[in-house]
Amino acid sequence: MSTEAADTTSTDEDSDVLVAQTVVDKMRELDPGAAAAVARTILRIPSARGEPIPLHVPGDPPGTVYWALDPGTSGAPVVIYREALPSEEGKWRVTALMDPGAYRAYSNGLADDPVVQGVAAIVAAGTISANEYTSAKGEPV
Amino acid sequence: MAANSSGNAGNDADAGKLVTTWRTVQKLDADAWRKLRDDAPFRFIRYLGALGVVIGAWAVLGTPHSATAWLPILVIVLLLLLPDASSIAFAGFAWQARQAADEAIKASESARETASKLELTVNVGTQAGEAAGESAQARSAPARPAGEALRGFLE
Repeated sequence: MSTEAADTTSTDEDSDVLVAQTVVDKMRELDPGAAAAVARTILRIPSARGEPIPLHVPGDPPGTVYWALDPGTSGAPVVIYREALPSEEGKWRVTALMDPGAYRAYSNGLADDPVVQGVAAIVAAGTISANEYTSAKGEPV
Repeated sequence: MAANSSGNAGNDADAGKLVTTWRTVQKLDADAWRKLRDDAPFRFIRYLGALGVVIGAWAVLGTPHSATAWLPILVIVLLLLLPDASSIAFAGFAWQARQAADEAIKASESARETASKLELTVNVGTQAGEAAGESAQARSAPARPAGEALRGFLE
């Protein structure tokens, strides 16, 4: 049995890992090869442990740690996930995908850059506000 | 008529060659040309040339008796050494050629580097912000078990 086959085999762990619908929607926009690489990477959670990523997510309980798992395939985004919050089902939740080049620059020191933090905070607030506005209008997200 | 039109075609071809040559000359990058001019071999050749002109003129004209006779020689030597002059000051007028050019090149490189760094910083901040925003949305978004949600991507 190949490693990849072993990685993609559905196990009980799959039900412990939940994927947010926003992530699935984003995967549909990727080319099939990159989407398959991302899917295989997600199915390796939690046996494959990612690298911690200092992501400041508005509204998260203090001490929430996010992890990043790089599929290592050209064009495939990095998988961002965390442990499920007490109010959530499952043990792990895949929350976002991130551009691999930006992830490498971010994790190689730019995460501490005040300008990067400022831009990230503004964009995060804008993303959430846009989502709330769309929800309030009753349009699909 | 036919001869005339073939003559016109020849003239057009010559004109085209001239335009191409002129464009090639225009394409010579000023910085690359300046670097070539200031590189050690060319500078050494210019020094040797200036020395050779003075020695040659001395041999032909003999000991200088009149400044006017040596004026063309001085002009040639000045022209050969001018590219290496960092500045020329005369009667309160100063020309800081080399220094100004070096400062302009440094400023241009520095501006390019700053712009590139700023672009990277904003791009990384935007991507991290989007990931954080999506992660915040994920708290309230519906979620499905990985095996079920991703089945379609593995077929």
